[in-house]
Amino acid sequence: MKKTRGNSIWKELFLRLIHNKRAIFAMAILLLLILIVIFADLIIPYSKAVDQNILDRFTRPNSSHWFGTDKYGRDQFARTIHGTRISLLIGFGSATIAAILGTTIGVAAAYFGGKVDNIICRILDIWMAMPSLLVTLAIIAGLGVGIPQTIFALAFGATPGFARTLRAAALSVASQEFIESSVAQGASHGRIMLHDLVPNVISQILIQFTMNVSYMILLGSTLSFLGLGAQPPTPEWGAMLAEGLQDYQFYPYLVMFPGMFLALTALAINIFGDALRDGFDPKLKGRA
Amino acid sequence: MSVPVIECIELKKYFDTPFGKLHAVDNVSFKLEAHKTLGIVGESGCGKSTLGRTILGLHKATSGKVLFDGREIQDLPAKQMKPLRKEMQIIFQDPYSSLNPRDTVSQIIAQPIRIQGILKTPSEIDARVQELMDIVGLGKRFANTYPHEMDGGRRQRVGIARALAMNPKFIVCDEPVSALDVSIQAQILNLMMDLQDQMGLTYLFITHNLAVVKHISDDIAVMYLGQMVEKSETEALFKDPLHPYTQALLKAIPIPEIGHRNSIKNVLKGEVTSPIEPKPGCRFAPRCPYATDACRSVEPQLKEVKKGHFVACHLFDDAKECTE
Ligand SMILES: Nc1ncnc2c1ncn2[C@@H]1O[C@H](COP(=O)(O)OP(=O)(O)OP(=O)(O)O)[C@@H](O)[C@H]1O
Ligand code: SF4
Ligand SMILES: [Mg+2]
Repeated sequence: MKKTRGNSIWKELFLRLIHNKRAIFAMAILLLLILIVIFADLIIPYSKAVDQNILDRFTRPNSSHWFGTDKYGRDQFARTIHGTRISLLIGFGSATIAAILGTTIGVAAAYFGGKVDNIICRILDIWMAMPSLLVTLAIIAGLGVGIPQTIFALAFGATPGFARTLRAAALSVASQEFIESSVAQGASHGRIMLHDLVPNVISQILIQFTMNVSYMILLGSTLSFLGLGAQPPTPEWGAMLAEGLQDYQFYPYLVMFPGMFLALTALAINIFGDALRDGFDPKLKGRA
Repeated sequence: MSVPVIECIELKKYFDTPFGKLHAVDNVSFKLEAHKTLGIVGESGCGKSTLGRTILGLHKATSGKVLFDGREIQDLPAKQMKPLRKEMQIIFQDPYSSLNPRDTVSQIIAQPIRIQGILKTPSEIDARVQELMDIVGLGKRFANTYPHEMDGGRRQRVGIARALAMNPKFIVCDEPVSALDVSIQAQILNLMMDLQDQMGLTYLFITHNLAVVKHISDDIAVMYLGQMVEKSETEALFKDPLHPYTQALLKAIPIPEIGHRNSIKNVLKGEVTSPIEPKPGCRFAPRCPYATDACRSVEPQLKEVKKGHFVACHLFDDAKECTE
């Protein structure tokens, strides 16, 4: 009895992912990043990323400082490694919040329909019409700078788009008869949304979530780059790029490494998102 | 006389559309006695499904009453409706969309038991699910399969088992065999008739196919554009159809003969009136060969012209109302 619900689509997704070379590449990079996040302190202590050492300024990459040092003599390898934690925290954190809020709003709109749906759609229209960078800046201006504020501001900007997509996906499920059957059995609204609707739009949730993570990592770095996200001396890729840019003509490695990590991470997540989309696409199904 | 299981009194369900109110169910009244089957027949879009769903409270009635066991239920809040849901169930037409694709067969059948909290322990629930699968003729091996791995007939059996899970009294069967192969239709119909005998069920059996209801129904009601235009015992209706629309429907029953194609569209000329803000008068008038000016201005009322035989048509204005 304890079988995983709807296991067939997961099996199929798994098979498709491991037969997709691009997906394998993306998953290898993501696995590496996850290992870095978990074991960052074992790879290199955090103190190396923040402790200044004036004697070691602007060391080019060598055997003791793999990625060189910056103008404060901080080890760039340590900063890049620990920056992974911050960047992924911002990306996954804000995408998770947007996914939870967006799914709730979108599924509720599709399920209740009628007036509720109308009101929610109007609100989403207004929400999306606000220029997102401006809103993000306004939120940060209001709440102050810092990582939690960055996560919240990014999630706020991503939620309406998520809700729209999920509403569209849930609409086609909400009109099916098994939803009516649940009503006729006496199920509560909450149960129907959680048990009947969400599992049937899980693929869209995952695809949207993945796409959002990479976008949020880039946006988070942009904010830090502008000095509005992670604050010095916190190691964060965008902040590293901003600092490195001041001296990059003479020391290009200062922007090369964090830039490479940032680009590769976003690329891998995007490729993975594409592979997920293909993997869930029923039109690509051989036989169900 | 015993209290009918279901009674509708001047039941109306109007939908708001951009073009005005759509009269999906308009002033329908009938009684359905225990252990009987009432067949609801009519063309696509005449409001059969809407009637069934409004009775079950899946659509909120615009006006009128629905009585279950003599108790008004059309305005009950969800909390008071929940225990009644055990008594009233529905079987759907489409065995694909009526089963949650993410649940296994046993999860689907167990769901109403869980929601209503009838049985508590997993082993009790398992045993009950097993029993229900037996009743509808589904082998044990299907317990952990997903709906898409089964054929249409078996899927429909799952839908029936789910409807039976709470031992209901009354079931709305919304075209339960229309989507199935002809060979499987008979199996499912027989199953449903056996279940009715064994469990004393009362059916509201919706279909657009008169041939299907002929065997299963005690009474038949014919609907046209939201209204009930004729109702009688099944045999009387087939022998002596009174309403011109019923007569056309009977002519349109396909005859198993090569090259013989008799659809209602061939039998009836003229356009179907729009169900949105219909004009006064008989809604069938544009297609009726006997239509008169009176038909186009005055709406005919349902009236009992023979014992147990009701019809709404001006041709029977002079017939004496049967009042026994
Ligand atoms: N939720 C709804 N909103 C608006 N109009 C609706 C809705 N549901 C049904 N209708 C309309 O009400 C009328 C009756 O529909 P209904 O589904 O009850 O017909 P039906 O007799 O069951 O037809 P079919 O044989 O195709 O199932 C149709 O004109 C339909 O378009
Ligand atoms: S009332 Fe008139 S138009 Fe309507 S069915 Fe009877 S004869 Fe035909
Ligand atoms: Mg219908």
